[in-house]
Amino acid sequence: MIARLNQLPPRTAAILALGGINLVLIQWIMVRELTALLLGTELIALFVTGSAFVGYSLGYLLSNRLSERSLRIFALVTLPLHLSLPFAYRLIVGSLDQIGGYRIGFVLLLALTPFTVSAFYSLFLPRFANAGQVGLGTLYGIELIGTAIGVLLLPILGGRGLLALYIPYTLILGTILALLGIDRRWLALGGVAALVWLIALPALDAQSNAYVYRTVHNLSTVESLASVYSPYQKVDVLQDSDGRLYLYLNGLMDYGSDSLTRFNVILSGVPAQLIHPAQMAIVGSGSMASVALAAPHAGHITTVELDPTVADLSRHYFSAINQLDRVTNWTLAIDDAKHFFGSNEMRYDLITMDVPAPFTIQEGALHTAEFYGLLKRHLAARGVVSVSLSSTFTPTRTLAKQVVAGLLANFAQVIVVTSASADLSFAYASDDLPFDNLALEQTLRANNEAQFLIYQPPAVRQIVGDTLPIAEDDMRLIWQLSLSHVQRILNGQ
Amino acid sequence: MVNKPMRRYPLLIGCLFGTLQTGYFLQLSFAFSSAAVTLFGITLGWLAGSGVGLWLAGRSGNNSALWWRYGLLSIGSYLVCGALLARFPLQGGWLPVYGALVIASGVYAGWFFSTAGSRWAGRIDRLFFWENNGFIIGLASATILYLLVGRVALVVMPIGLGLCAFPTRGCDRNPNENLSRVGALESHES
Repeated sequence: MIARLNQLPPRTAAILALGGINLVLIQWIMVRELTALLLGTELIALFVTGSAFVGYSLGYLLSNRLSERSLRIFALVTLPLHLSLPFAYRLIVGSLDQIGGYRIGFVLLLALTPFTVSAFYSLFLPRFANAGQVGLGTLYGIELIGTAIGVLLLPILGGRGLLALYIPYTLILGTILALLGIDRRWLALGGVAALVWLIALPALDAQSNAYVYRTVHNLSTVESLASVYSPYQKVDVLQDSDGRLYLYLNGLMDYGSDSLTRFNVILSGVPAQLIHPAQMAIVGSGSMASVALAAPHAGHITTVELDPTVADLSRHYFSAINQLDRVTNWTLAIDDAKHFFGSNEMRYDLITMDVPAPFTIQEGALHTAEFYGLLKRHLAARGVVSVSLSSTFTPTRTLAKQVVAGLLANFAQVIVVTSASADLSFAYASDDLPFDNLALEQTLRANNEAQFLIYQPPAVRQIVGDTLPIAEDDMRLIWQLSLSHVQRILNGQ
Repeated sequence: MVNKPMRRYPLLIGCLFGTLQTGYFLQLSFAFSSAAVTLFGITLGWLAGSGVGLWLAGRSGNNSALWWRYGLLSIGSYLVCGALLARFPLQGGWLPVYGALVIASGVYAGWFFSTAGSRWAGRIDRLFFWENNGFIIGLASATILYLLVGRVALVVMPIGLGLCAFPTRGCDRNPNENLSRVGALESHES
């Protein structure tokens, strides 16, 4: 092995290792950016990942066909291309949306990604290996080391914004260009241009991000306050000219509309007022408005949040809404909810599920009958689970019926409330609900809920009928939701 | 030009790798934790395993006859991980074991590329091209089949792909290899 490494030209080794690092960094940026621009569901995340991998194949296909000169031109083009990619993608989608062409943007970005993102870095390994100077095993090993370094950098740099990722990325790409023998004049020019670009990058990032929300999301006056790529999603915080704050996760609104404000009232505020839980858990955080609504009525609240980026941004920007600086009976647990409840023995009087609709497998896992069974094991006597049904509860709404079916598989009593102000239904499930219909009605009215429907347990069972719940082995609903989401986009709806 | 039987092996092996990585991610997300440490752990474990595979292949002089040892190790480790997750769900103490199993599964990836390198000499671009196409198919089909039929897909697919891929292993022998052997024999005799 050492003998083989001695035969390895340092230039070759450096290009492969540095290329491995940069490939991880650019993929981290573009997969999150593109998933958010295309309003990420499971199928869209799959399209985006697949599109990035098709780029590898394209690079492999081209690797032996490019002359040294063509390779240098490709490399030189890659520098401005990769530095401007997130902004270019945002401008393409935003401007196409303004002329009613979002669906064209949807297809175009997925089609462009193989050419623009990943093809360049996959040119090198086969090219060097085919030259036959060093064995494939050695070359592949070097690239693996680079890739591993890139992966190790992600937890350090990944959540610190675009600039923190682009500074090392640009330095590495510049080094690769130098190693490829790019003319020094071009290198110097590229270096100066990259430096100017990096200085302007935070402002460009905020402007182009706001542009997407002004066009695609019709928030005509918003400014971008923060935009971060977490390991799980792209998290955006925005504010409009009236001072209203918005939170978007992977391009999908988590907080900001009137109905989503009411969402927190019905999901957490109302059951907390009814139950006065000594121990309460809130799964998912978002804006953490639920904490402020429940804290005056609860002994102690634990928020379980998977994504520390969401929790940090929420604390920083939504303090007027969640009042965390004044709440003293609250703790935050950064953990996967399944793991959290699976690895402790705590019992709660109220658990609320403040999580997005099941558009992805991970979100679907928090709506399964198995997960509700796990929550049941952590409920105190007469404890309640409060769940959003992500739509209104009617005999024709499969999503709501499947979520309730999962609750009915575990709990003897499930009451459903359809709120006009939230335009959604919510379920309160328990083996022995600690409040009656009258108390629920009074509490809803006391929370300014003028129009609502309450479905008593027998009515709930009747509407659900023989609908099967979402389960770890039955995620067909997530597939159907993803598919219809893509169909709606392609149909221009 | 790479003929159809020859490209079948890397295509199927790529499909197997895509299925194994997707399967690890989905199973560990459900029954262990979907925190970032799981995703990073699987990625780093697979890379480390590939590195071990490269080293083992180098030590054996790229002896491709040992394919069955590492092929079985890869799929076997994956199935053991699934069984442990089913028996001991959501238990944090098993993290080192799951890490070791992901590494063991990744060994075949390194071993595959190192040993295939000599047989695909001069056409390494095609080797990666077909393996990567297979990986995309494996990743997409494992995700979609999991959504449609559940965890059974994550058990059946790797076994099925292993059974399909390993017998095609001999098909990727370099067609020029026999000619060069004849040439070597002739020069030796003369």
